[in-house]
Amino acid sequence: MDLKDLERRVSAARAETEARGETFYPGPSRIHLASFPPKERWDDWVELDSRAWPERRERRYMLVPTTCFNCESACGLLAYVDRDTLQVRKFEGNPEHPGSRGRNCAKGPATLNQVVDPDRILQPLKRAGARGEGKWVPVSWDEVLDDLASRIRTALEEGRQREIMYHVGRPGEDGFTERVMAAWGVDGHNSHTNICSSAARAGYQFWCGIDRPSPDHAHAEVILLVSAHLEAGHYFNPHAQRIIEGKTRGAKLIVLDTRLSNTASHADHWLPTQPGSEAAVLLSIANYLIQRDLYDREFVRRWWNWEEYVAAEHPEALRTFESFEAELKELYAEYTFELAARESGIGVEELEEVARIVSTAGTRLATHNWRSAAAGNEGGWQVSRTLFLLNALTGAIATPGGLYPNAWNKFVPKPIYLPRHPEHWNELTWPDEYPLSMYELSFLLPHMLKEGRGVLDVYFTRVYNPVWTNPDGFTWLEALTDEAKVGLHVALTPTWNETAFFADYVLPMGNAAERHDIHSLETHDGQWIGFRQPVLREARERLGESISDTREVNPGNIWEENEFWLELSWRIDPDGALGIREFVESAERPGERLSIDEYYGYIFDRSVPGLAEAAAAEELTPLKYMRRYGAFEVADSVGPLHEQQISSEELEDVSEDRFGRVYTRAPKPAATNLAPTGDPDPDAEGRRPVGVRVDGEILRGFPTPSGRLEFYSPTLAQWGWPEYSLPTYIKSHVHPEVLADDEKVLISTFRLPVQIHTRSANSKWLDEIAHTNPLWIHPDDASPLGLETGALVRVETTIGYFVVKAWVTEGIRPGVVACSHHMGRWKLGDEGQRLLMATVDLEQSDEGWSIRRRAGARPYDSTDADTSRIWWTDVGVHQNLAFPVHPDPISGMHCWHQAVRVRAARPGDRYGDIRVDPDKSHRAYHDWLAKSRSARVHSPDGTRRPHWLIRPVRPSGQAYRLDSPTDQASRSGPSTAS
Amino acid sequence: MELFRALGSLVETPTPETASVAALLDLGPLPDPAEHSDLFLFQLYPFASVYLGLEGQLGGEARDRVAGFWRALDETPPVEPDHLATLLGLYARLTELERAATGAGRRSLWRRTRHACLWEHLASWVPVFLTKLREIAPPFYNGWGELLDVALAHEIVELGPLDRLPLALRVAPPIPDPRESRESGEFLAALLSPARSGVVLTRSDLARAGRELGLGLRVGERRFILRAMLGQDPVVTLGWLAEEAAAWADRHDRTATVIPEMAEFWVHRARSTARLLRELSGDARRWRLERESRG
Repeated sequence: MDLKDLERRVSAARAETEARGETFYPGPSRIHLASFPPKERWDDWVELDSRAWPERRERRYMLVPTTCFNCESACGLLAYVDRDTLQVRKFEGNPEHPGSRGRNCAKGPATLNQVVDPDRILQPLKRAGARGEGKWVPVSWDEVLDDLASRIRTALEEGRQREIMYHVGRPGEDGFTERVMAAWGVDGHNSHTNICSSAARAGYQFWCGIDRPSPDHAHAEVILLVSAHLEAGHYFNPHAQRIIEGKTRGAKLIVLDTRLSNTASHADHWLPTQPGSEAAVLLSIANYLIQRDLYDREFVRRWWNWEEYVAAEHPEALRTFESFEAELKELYAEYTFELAARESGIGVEELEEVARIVSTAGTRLATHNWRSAAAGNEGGWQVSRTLFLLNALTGAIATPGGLYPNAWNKFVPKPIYLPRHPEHWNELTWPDEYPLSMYELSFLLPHMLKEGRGVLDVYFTRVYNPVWTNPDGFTWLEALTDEAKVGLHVALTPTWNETAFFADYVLPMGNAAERHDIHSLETHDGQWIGFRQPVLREARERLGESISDTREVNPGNIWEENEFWLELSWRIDPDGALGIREFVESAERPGERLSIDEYYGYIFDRSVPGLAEAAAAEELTPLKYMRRYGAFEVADSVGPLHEQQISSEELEDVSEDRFGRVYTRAPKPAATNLAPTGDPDPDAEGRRPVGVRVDGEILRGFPTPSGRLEFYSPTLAQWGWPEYSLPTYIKSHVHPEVLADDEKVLISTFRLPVQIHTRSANSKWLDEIAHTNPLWIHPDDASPLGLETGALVRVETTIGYFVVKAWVTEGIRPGVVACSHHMGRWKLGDEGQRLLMATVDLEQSDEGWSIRRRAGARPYDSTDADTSRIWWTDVGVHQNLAFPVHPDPISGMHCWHQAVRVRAARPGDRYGDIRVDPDKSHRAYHDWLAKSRSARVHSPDGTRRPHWLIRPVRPSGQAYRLDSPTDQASRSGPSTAS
Repeated sequence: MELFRALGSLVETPTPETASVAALLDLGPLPDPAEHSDLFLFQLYPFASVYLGLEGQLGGEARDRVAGFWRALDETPPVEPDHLATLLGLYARLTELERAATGAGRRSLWRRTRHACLWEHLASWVPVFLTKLREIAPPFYNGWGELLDVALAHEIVELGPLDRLPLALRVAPPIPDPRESRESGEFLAALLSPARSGVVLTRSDLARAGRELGLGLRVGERRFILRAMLGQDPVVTLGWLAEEAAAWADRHDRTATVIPEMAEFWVHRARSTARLLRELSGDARRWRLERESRG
């Protein structure tokens, strides 16, 4: 037995196999990856048909990668396309995807339900009766496009750019529709972000100029989550698998969550905090680190803008780091464990133990907050700001196991065209009252329309359902049914929803297997792009067909958005007179519209470092490579970009301010990565900021005005909020001090792991698992009300009430009740989902709006035999209808938590009843509007908003000015919405 | 060190794809998956924790100890860090890291790490596992076991023994004397823990005992089977077990050529177990006679 010869033989065989791009150790093996089909066999993969068992019937598949469209994680999927029928038989994980690594949550495989949903909208529909009447006629795409193009062209020609708005729920490709809006010259992008994450974003952006966190959970020593991140948080699947990796490596998991969530149940330390007290808890940990000198002094000295703080707040003081440290101790001395314990209800010993654990993490502290407490409370943006403070103190910024700014772990490639900045500012989405709002004040739109701030001529809702998702949905109904306020409402949606019922056009859009998008998200310290594609298009092209329009392969007449937007733009400006056509015209074939293949071919050929080489190694074009593998890893680690030295080529006629911010006249190198970051202003002479001097070296720094981490935010100080310029604790609008004795805090932000807003309601597998949302109530609160699990409860908000069932559980703090998102879907008539929508009566009377359930879910006959097996009737309660709007005066975030009164249901109350007084809704809007500090009063420079802050569509510099002439013209201009 | 990876891949369920690996190693055609299942799922579990743990079961402290080794390397432990395939893959990786290291210091560091992996997590139990495997495995796996045995011996000879016995063996107590405790659970667990008893008892061994002793074989896990046999006839069952232990002492003695220190441990364990079991069998016989004489 010659061991050396065997060794040589196996090594050579492996090298030879892998050189061919094949897998040497395939199959379920601990040696290589798990049981994924080897990629070299994706064209012809054989599996036994499970339904044919015990007969061993083989089925042959083409495995085509795409990207999940359910939540935002953009996990990789592999579609199993039956070679005989050319139908997708199932979806599994894509092992080539660097973010999800072949793993999916329940929502990924359930994509199949969405593809074959018997209630799908298969044809463009046009309203035939009154809005909401439920009468529709099928129309051709040509008719839709011509109508929309004509209407939009007229609006643009008449200078009514502000009357065109695109409102997005689940974003598609990074920046795609933003560029479409910009090409039209329209500042009409409107997102859902202010009901989702803008508070957390604000906390991060004020610190580091980048508005999302990218924690390296897998390599952390301590993971601190202010969320239910393991089950339903942001980037749930890619992050959850890395959190578990971190735990497997020995990391401690600390979870702040008022509920006993699945995540809390995995924690080493679960802190069920009083809602709104989270920042106080985090500051007590910070104080522990500060008072005991357990923080990273060198990191703080080098990277915090402490000198700027001292100069601004104590101009007379000596600017030494030591004096700042002394000040730091004083600043946070009040945040004792005793204070945090009083606010949070968590014991002093528990808090101290958690602080001690955090202090042992060193630079391996991974923290995360996205929605949760940040999204619930007034001042919630300070939750992420105080959480980031812990990383900034420990130096766990851009370190293995620490926290990265997301733009460093995300790659957005440059497209073929980048349109100009629009010349207009849309005050309906960016009102002067909220100059620091992280994103559009989207959920205030109907109130702003109501008080005559503007009108909409063409309003697109795109995979978005504000009537159901947003607070105060009845006010949305009022706006959408008023044709004087919304001239034309176009719902682009893959499935029926409560908002689409009130549209003029319902346009069916593809889901994960039926559309193109590029995605890149911060799942770990690395960069990747994922490619979503119509899988049947790729399958048929592998068989030799040529497909140029996804409608050729999609079910019915379902389209994809990218082709839709390109075609619509082309028709708006057929002769190029409006300056739009140039952004949608083929460069290869002038005079023709840009095709999808040319659009993505350009990006993959030229804008993704390393992709062309990887493709060439497999003798593929970059586009074919992406169609084949669905993902590409741009970088497997990025590291601390802020420590990068600036090269001498970038330093030309430099200037430096007194705090070390360095500016240059050297032109900015061509950007390869368009991931959004802050865009600090140039110096007075127009030099661009290039870096920051640290200990004599000019380093890249952070995209903040100072180039450093802004412990002290001059932006907040100068724009009217000096009291919040440092990380601090803002008492919530649901702080116990402001609650009446009989009021409780309602938590409504938490999600169910298997559902995802509107989009998953048509997934039978998911609906069977989760289809209701009872009210979590502690036995101590339930007992005095005589409530037992299943009893009907009336929950009274400040604008109305809803009736729901109680779930008595010790998994929630006393004094707090909770009711999950995702549920309470409804329809008025025959249209709509039948798996998870109740049929309701909608009424408007002198007393306001009301909804009463006529019927719950029930079995029905369809092309899918499973619909006859529906066993549930309860589909939950649409609680959001009874929620008033609560815009945070700084971040603009809707503060979801609210004080409610919980009572046993009254005689006559029925499950699912909802009643709302619209006058009270509008009063609530004004009450919260009064908390804001308008740019018209507080702007330090005559602009509407700090120019450096991220904005999805950035208008021209002139449009930023409060006195911009275009704005004046628009205010006095006529409105033509009809 | 691709050889170890290749050998590891063959511990997994055979698939058409692994046929080429087997062919490269001259092991002949792949066996039927049922043979794999019988060997590795029902008879000889290829997990370190089964041989080194205090209860003779999967998981527990023995698995944690292997996971700790992964963590010490700053690696995330896989779900089953103590599976033979995983350990062989890890060993192969460490060998590659040693060879790729630049500088004598780093190379020496990787060599020590590789040595520790071999000594603590492979040499501590795999030879014993293979001894039994080669007695009961079908031809394909017999050839596989022989090749792994030779390859491991080669590594052990190349790296030499370490100063002390592997930690898992050092901390494993011998089987307890059940006469000193009313609790028979620990005694049975220890009997099924090779590191404590020096004996590897498979399901087929217990079935053989049932046949030889004329006892009923109850279907269940090994501890359950053993308890049932002891309940039926402790004298002959304990006597049979004593002979098995003695036979294992002889087996260990025969493998002493590669690692005498390790073999000494195993021989001693098996002999002590045999001695105790003989005493227990004798006691049981006496008690039975006394009971019978009392009528």
